[in-house]
Amino acid sequence: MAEFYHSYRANVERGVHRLSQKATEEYEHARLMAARFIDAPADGSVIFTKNTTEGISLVANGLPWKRGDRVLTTLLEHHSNYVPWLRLKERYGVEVDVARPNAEGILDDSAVQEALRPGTRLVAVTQVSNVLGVTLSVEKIARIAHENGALLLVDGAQSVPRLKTDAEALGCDCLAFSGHKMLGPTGIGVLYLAASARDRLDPACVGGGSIEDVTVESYRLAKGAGRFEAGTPPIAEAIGLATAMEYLERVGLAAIEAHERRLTERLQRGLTETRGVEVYGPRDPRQRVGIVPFNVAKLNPHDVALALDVAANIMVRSGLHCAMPLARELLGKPQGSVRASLYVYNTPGEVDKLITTVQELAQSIA
Amino acid sequence: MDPQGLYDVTPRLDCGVCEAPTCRAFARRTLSARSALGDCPILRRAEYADRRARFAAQLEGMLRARDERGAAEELTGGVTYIRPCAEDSSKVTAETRLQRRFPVPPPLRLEVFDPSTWDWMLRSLELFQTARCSEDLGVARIEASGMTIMVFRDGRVNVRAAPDEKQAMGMIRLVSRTLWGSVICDCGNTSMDCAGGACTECHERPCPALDAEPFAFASAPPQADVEIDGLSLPCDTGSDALGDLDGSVCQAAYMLKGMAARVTQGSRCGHAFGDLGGVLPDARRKAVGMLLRSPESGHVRGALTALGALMDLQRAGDSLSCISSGEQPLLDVPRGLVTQALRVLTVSCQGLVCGRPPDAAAIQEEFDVFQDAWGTEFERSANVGALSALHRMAANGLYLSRLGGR
Repeated sequence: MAEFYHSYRANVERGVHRLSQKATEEYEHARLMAARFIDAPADGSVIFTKNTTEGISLVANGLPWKRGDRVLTTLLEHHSNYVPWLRLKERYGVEVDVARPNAEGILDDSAVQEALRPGTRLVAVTQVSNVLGVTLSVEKIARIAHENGALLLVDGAQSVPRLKTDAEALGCDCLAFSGHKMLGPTGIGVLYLAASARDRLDPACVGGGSIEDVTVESYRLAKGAGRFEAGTPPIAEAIGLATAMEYLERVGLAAIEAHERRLTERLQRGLTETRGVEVYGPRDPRQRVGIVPFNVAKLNPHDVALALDVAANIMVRSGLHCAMPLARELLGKPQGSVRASLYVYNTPGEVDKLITTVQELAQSIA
Repeated sequence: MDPQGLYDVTPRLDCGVCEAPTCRAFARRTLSARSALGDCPILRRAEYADRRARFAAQLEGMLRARDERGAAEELTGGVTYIRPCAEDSSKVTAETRLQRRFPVPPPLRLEVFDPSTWDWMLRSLELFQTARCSEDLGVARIEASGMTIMVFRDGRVNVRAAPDEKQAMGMIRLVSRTLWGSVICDCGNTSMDCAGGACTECHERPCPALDAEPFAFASAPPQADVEIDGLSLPCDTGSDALGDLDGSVCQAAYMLKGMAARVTQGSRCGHAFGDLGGVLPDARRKAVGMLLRSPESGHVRGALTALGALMDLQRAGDSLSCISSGEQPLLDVPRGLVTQALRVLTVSCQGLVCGRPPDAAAIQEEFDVFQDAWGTEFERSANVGALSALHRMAANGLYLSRLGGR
């Protein structure tokens, strides 16, 4: 990113001078890299967005809706994969169905099947809950969706950074994820669109870069990814994301997954065995990734997070994690929870420090 | 920079030989080069070689990190935010950062309050429904009137679920005053230790922690309309209030003197006199009440000095209890050494009791005699626990002798 700003900071696809050519080359390399990272074909199936939220909203606002259409989502969703559907209900009279997981957050594919109603045009699910860390069997859900003539949109914000992803094998039509959750910069995300979705989706925004031809009275949209990327794109951020992906590939997604699983088991065991600490999500750590939410007795989660920061330099998210329906309906915790998120850079020593600090909080101030 | 890691390696016996009143203060003083590792007689012993090496390595690492990264900025104080609570927008949450108003050496910047002194203050208060503190983490939680107040050693005070902004800020003002005694002075001690005569440095110069009103919020008296559950602290703000408080401190000193005399005569005392038969808690409540409620800055300062004296008396009482009850058996400690320590304590208490400033120079001389003999005995004896308690008792006696002018 620094090199882009220092050496060739120019716009893409717009100039013939060498700086623009270099910028275009790097930007398109980033696109190829992103496609490779999720085993997607290099045929313009990958478009750059601002983040996962924008990717999902592009789909929500780009499909043609009419009263009586249905969307099926789940209680496990982040607001970014929940509010857009409620908005469709408000705007177009689209019906929103919600599949409910069990108390541990595990969503059986039969629950999806049961919640699916005739007229469902889109199934929108996360692959990994951002609150509970629980993983969903997307392949099975894809089969159910397609058998019923619906498209499948997958929120991959938590899964793509840590689980080897093959977009085609997953069977999804749309897959959105963010750069900032995978060692990349903020302000960059990816939306994968299979041909099945690309053909039906209207760009939410048009302008420079997204058209093939414009006359005084008409325009013709560009083919491929460009039609969804109106205006100057986040060039530096895309280059930064590609570098992060190259790094993750070098480390190896399998190695990252195994490392995270070891840490998750250690953390879940340590917290579960701590008196006064309540851990949410699947009891079997093999059913989750390195996201472990918990509460310490009746302490407010924000107070716990502040204490962990000041006392032990541990940064955790606290509160409702942009998933209010889940916190209220499934967990029954209107104040939310403390969420520890582990990744490739964490160590067993850090996990132990978190456990001992939480133990001390539970003993001393709870 | 977190001195907790250093403190974890100290003996945690608070013997006072290094001239710091507590091992926490010693850990901080080594960071600012006011004390050296070699000043701790316990870490100098062969059987503590491992801890000594860990302390040295940790200290070196912390100082190197400071040199590499540069000194942390002193964080700005004031209100960080006041906003509706996330979980209940009809209530208010607020956060402030209390700030020392005097410069401190860079390594001490990130710790504003001493958690063990808070803990003592919170236990003295008996004011809030819940008041719990983790000394190791430097975090305290208070519950009062449906509000939750969190205090962090870096100076943050956070109030949640307050009915409105006025109540939130009123609570912060109130809690801030309880924190004044635990603010860390530039010498590495707490302001309460300085007030109680434990600091040689602040005994001989104006103490910045005591002389500068340290907190913006602590300087204003709490608003009268802040309702705190169970607030029944004595709050005598009349002209005789200080005299009354002084009387309570003298009563505690008188009792301790009597107990020291009994031990000198060879009698054993039970464990129960750590609080001197309830006199210390009563005196603490009076002092804290004045500290929290008085609009007079002279009274507030007087209350802090009284609390410093009461802390000295409590430490000396605990040590006396510890050695005379057999919890730390004196075994082969020479009788003369015990008598000399008791003498330092007795003479200092007598000075407080009779209302005349004790002859501090004479007590210092007595203490020096004791300390020389103690050093010789410490080299010879393996009885580290009892000897530490003995020194702690004499040292706190010495601190009391420095209170004459206050």
